[in-house]
Amino acid sequence: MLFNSYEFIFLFLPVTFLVFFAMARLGREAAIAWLVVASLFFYGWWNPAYLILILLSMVINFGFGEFLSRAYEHRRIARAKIGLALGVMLNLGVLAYFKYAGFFFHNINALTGSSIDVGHIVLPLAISFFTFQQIAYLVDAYKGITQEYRFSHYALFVTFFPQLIAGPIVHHKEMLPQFMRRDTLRPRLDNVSIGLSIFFMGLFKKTVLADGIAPYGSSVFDAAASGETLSFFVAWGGALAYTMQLYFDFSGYSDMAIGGARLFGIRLPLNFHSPYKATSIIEFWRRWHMTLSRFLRDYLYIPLGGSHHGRKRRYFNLMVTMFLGGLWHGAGWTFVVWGGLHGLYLVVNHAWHRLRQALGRAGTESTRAGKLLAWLLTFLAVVTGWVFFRATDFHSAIVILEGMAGINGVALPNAIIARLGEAGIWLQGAGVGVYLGGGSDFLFTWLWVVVLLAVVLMMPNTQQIMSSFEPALRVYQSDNKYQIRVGEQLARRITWQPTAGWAVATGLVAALGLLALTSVSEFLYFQF
Amino acid sequence: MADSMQRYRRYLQLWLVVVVALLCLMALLNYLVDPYGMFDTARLQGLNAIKPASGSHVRLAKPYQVTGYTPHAVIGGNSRPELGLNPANACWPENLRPVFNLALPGASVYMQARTLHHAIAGSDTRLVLWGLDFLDFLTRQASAGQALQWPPGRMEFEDRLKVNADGSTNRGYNRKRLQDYFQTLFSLDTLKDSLKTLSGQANRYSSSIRRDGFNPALDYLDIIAWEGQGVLFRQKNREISELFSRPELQLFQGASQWSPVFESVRRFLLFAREHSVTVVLFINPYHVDYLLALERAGRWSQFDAWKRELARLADELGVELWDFSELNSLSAEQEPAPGDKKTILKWFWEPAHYRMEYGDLMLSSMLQRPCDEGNVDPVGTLITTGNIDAHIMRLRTDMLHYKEQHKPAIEHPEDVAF
Repeated sequence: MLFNSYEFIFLFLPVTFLVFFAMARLGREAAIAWLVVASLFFYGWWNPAYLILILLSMVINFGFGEFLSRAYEHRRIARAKIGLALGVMLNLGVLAYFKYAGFFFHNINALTGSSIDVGHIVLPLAISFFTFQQIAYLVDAYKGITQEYRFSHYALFVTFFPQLIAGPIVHHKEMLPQFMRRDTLRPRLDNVSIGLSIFFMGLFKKTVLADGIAPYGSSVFDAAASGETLSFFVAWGGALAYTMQLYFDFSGYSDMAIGGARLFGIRLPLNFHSPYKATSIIEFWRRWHMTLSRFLRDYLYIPLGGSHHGRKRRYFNLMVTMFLGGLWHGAGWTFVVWGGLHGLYLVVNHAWHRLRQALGRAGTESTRAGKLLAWLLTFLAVVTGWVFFRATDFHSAIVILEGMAGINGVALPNAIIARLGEAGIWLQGAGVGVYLGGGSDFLFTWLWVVVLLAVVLMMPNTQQIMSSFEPALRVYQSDNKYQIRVGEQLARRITWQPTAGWAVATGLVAALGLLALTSVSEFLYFQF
Repeated sequence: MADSMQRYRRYLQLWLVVVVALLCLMALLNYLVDPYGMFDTARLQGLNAIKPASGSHVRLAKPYQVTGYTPHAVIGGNSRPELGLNPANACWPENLRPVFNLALPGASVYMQARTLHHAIAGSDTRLVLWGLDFLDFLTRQASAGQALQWPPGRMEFEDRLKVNADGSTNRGYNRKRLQDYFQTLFSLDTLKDSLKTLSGQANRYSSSIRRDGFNPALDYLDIIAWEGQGVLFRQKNREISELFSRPELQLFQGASQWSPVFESVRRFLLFAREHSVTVVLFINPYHVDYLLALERAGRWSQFDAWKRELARLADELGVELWDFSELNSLSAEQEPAPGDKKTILKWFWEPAHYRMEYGDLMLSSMLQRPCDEGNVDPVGTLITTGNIDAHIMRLRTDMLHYKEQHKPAIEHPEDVAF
């Protein structure tokens, strides 16, 4: 079930909410059991067959967790190590089979000329998320950071529906204590108000903004995949449209998760904090998909040695972490390249810091121009990365990047050149080419891009808007040194309060988000 | 604390009222403006008479519109008759009025046939004029082992039709209609199009589908005013050349004389005959650029074979077949020179789409009624298996003469346009 669907908003969410608090009168365990059942229903909505896998995965991991917790208590370190290794390998093995077997053997076949056929393996929903979440749990149990002896509680930690499908990736230790609080069992108007407001802001971001700009990015990536060459503005328009779509899509979905959980009085960790305002790649990863960055840092980068074994080893660890982070997003070389690019960016960023340190410039705030340059460079690097992330294959990505580099020249639609009058003639004289068709597509692509770019750079994010009401766990504290400060005063003024004005504003946002759930089938057939 | 909770209570109450009120208001606005003509709300001059978004939503709206319009004559086909045949033409005899233009841009022949099937089932329709298009009959070859079957697997658009392909009643029709109405009312896309409609009433060159389903294609005039009609020719010439050059598109399946497309036509003609509905088939007119592109692509013998098969079908099922794809002074109309933003051709918008003025002449021929066509010779030929060979030969000869007369321009086709 998707958050942005009628069945979720008008049936599943209200029913789950009402029954949860009705069951809470019978006791905590009844309420938790209901939430687990409801979450499994939510998960099984697409395909009930998936339920078998997630249930098996939970039972086995719960067993491993119990074993590790007891081993920790009794200081049986060797047994714990073996248990942890087995548990992690088992999780990764399942993930590898379902997500990467096809990719792996495809490449083996291509390299060796063999013809191993693993058949069509269906990727179970959210397997990447619940695998990582449970690995984190096993590691935490091994370290004695967390422990759980009730299966229903463990099942709730894994399946709690707001975070089950696409995160945020949560830790057992930050979730269960919240469910154990006495006031979680009573519905609270403040939580409902805050939760609904965040949820519908997220819905608006997803259905109005992300889905609104999506066709403009898709058409360009599709054109690249079909072998068309792309001129400068078309390629940039597509790459930027996708850049905006991805942010509003994923951060909108995360907002819906955070808002949905808040209805039950639960705070989820923050997942996005205006990542496109970042002035360095390091900063970008502190703001983009924050719970994944945290996971990769704590359970991959640091165990690899982090920054404790010298500079070269650190850079190596960064590259490995980001390569694997890329592969986590999808079984394809484009994801590996995307991860590798970001690994490289991070290495360069760390090397730059080191250089500044050597020059005695560490910790000093950059000038305005310096920040602007840093933002531009970071943003360009991120957009370039997204081209690989979105492209269906390596070749399409290169086609788009060639267009963005201006290799295919600069051109404008004839309809626009014709309307520019003298300026159009001058542009043609200056070497700007002309192509037929696509005038309104071009115009709307750039209108969307400019408006959404202004939104991501100047508007406060959901966390900032809701800042007076602790919208999420580990609220991000930005360091002014590392961000561009545009529209800060506006951001300070736009802070949510349970007032009539905000009820109207969020009501409008909710109504538009709901209206955008349905798209009227349109047949775009250029010039008949 | 109690005070604070009171604030949240008031907030939630107001929020809920705002959400519900806005949803209702927006749905009401969508209903009143009716940007796609789905609800047949009154069309008021200066308010919603021009419907700029209707052109891209005809597949959604026309199946419902035609049932409400209860026409006695229906025009079918793709975008060519949608832009060319005017249901309000004076030629239509009184007993065939009202007339509805059910042609659907870009629709496959199967979709055209099934939508016509829907229009005449259980209705008082007496005549169907169905425009057939050569390109619509070029299909991919079914792969080996893939069954050639008719009807093809059920398609989504068929949910909006009253009858199934086998002639049985579509039991899901009313549910789908309700769902489409609901989704059109409660939709941000419709809201945007309602606002576009309200703000677009001053644009006399706006695209808009009339209540009778006709598309006057006034938006072409806007493009011509800004960019010149030569641009339309150049773009369409490129598109049709690209389409004709696709080797996977063939007329018949393998070595047979059969394809699911011809079968769609045959099945519809059978259904119409059973229900005593007269059908007149016609082949659309093409500008000479189109015919030249067809020939350059080596498709001419296929073009002939297509007409032969249509003539055979028409004879078999006892319907008239008119061919308007002829070379005459109308179809050889010279397109404007590059940069010319003033000249507007009288008979064609671009090589693939004829104007209503040409359509008027066609109606005069097909309805066999002298209408106000000025001093122009009648257009079209009624073809049968008896005269098809001579007819085909005549067009070939006309093409040879034309090419002789226009040799330099034809050898450098880009120069013709620019």
